[in-house]
Amino acid sequence: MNIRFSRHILSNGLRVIIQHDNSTPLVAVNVLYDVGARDEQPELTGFAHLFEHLMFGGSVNIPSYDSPLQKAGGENNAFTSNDITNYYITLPKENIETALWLESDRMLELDFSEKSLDVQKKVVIEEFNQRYLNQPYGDISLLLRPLCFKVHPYRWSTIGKDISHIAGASLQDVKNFYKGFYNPANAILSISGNIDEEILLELLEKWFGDISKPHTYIRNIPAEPVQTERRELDVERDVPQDCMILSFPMCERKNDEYYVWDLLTDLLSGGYSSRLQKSLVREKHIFSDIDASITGSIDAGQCIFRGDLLPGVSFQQAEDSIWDEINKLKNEPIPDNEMSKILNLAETSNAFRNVGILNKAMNLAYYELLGDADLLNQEILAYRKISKENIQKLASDNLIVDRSSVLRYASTKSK
Amino acid sequence: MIRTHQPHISKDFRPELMPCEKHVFENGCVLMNFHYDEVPVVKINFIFPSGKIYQNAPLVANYTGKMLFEGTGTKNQHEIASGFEIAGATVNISTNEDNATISVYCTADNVSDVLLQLHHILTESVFPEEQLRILTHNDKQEYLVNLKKVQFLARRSLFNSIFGKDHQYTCFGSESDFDSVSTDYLKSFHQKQYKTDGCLIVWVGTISDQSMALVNQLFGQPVHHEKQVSTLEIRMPDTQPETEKIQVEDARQSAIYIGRQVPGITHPDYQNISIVNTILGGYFGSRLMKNIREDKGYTYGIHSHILNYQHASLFIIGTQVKADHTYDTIDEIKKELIRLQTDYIQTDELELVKNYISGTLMQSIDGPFAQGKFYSGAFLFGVDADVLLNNFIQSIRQITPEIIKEITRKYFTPNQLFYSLSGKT
Repeated sequence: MNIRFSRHILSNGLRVIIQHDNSTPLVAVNVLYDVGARDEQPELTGFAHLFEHLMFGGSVNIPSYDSPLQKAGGENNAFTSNDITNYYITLPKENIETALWLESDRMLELDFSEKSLDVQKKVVIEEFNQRYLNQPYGDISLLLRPLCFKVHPYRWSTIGKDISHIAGASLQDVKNFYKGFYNPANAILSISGNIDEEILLELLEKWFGDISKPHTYIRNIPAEPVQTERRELDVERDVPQDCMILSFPMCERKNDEYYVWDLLTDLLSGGYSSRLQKSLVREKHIFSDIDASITGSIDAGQCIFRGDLLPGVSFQQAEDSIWDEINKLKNEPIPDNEMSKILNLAETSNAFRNVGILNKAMNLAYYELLGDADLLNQEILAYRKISKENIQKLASDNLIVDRSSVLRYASTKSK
Repeated sequence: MIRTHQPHISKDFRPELMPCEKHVFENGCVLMNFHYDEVPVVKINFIFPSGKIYQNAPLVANYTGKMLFEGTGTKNQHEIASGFEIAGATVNISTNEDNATISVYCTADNVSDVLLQLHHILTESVFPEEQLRILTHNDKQEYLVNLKKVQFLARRSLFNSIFGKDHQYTCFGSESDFDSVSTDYLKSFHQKQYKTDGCLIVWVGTISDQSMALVNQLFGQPVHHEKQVSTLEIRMPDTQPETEKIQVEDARQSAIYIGRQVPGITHPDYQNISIVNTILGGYFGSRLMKNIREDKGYTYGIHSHILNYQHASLFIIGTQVKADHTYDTIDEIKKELIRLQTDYIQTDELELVKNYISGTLMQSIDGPFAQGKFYSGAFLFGVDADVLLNNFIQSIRQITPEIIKEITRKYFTPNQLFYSLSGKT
């Protein structure tokens, strides 16, 4: 794959990626701020995400963010993860200047109001209810994170550790957060579409060039100590089916081993012919569904097995069956055709991830944050270098009892 | 540069369709091709008229589709799945009310291999009983989980109210249906509804002469079977607006679903209904979002949309709100509906909505993947894609504050609507 782009840095430190695509009348504008839930203080969690909501409450010169964009035929949204806060727009290319005007003004200065803060606190609390508390199994991530992470801020979810942190947020707390992170030098702007690069650079200079805010925050996140003991947590909930989670620490995103982890989980649960599907769902009837995945976070994350137990299966049987598959992976050679299967699947999904201007703009900004936007084109090579032995060694070194965290999420019914 | 003023905006951006390359094979099977080569991948949808409305027992359409991947005369489930995945292909089936769609995602190099494998399962499936029971047993668990979701309960109950129970468009299935669905039903459903000559193929990516010849050989040949005249008759419900309440203990939020049937895509009012829907609840700046989320903070989101089936269209409002504010929310929704029919919309808001819809229309046809979806959607409704798009553009140009009031009065009066609540009701 060869998606071409150019890279620029404005004098205030704003990093810019431009990707030319002449096949569309639309343009995608993506602004990534290098701030996520991992940058929050333990007593003020959920702030990065609350902040994402406030970014739509109007900026210093523009009372409404959404209306002018909609008037220009545009559509936008945003998301917050434990690592980043990402805002994106698509609109007709003739109207790109509206997108740059809006994004630059909210980078320059937000218009903080008590009313906006008050309403968005309520909205976020309802989001907490809708996604985490009023859904069956919705609180799994809230339970699992503090089990797996004792020191690193990944121990709380983006929604926050406790709803009271959001409820108690003051205007001053919010202003401080903005000042710390919403600066040009802490952002990456990427644009994909059919716009002449020279014109675009002039517009970027015009709207963003004069935003001079120093970026002084120095990230100093404590590393999670190596886990040396098995951890267990049992909860009971009013759900129809038992669910079990088995989780292991893995490496950080920029480590080459990351790709080995990715293939390891593909081998176990990528696709309908994968090992866990075949053995534990189809043949042994332990789980109605099971999957292994990696968190994909920038700092060291977790490799998570999650299975929904069929009626009559005990947690012990369920866990034993997962260990059987892990041991098989460690001890028996991986067949060649299985290895080429997961590489072929990785190749296809990698290609589809970069279809369309919005995907390209988003992915380029994220890879630039990781260190080089060109990883978008290069990453597949890292996968191709991986050997069967790499995967087996990774499993042997890491998928061990003393590094496991187990969450048994029991149905009150089965008691 | 004045930061308080919006830069000049162009309003003459106009959604335009690329021409679609359409091939009709000898047996009537249609292939639409949308060229794409930036990334060497191919996405192909095979769409069959095998939705739930054609089934004569619950869950039959869904499991006929799923069971295509569960065994043929020569391959078992694992061999079928491995075959696709070794070729780097992801192949899924999804069945909705009207159609079943098999989606193939693969690299351009492997497309012939994948086509042969797909044709094999479409024609040689044997529907093994043992595999069916594994699927139904597992899926039943998922169904039981859904029964714990307030939004699932309220939505299902709204459909039951609007269409009446046991209507073709309310065939949700119950817990016991997972045990009673049988392979005999599936086999006969497969024979009737999965014929190659009834298939629509939507191919995004490059298609070589060799691939075209293969598609022709596999899907384009006349099949010798009695040409069946469709006997499908959709009953028109004779239900009356009502309010259904489902009590869920300890719910922190209530789900509210409100809706009714509206005229479909070929009716002259359709485009205007759709515009009024946008104003009311169809985008982030809609009246419902502004009032109930951005002003009152009762909810994370409230949306309305038009759902088009081949034989019915629905207008639906859906939200989950803080339990204490369930009835406040319904009152506010009614207020917004009445405001639409008593007060003229302001020029500013109307301008904004017109531009916003034009922009979303452009997005809905941006690039070959979106165009494929737009063209095939129109085709399945028996409408020409160009005509559909132009009708929309015309309606956006011509709509006036008077028309909006009239449409709201005609279709969106609070006492014409069905209401369903679940949670603390």
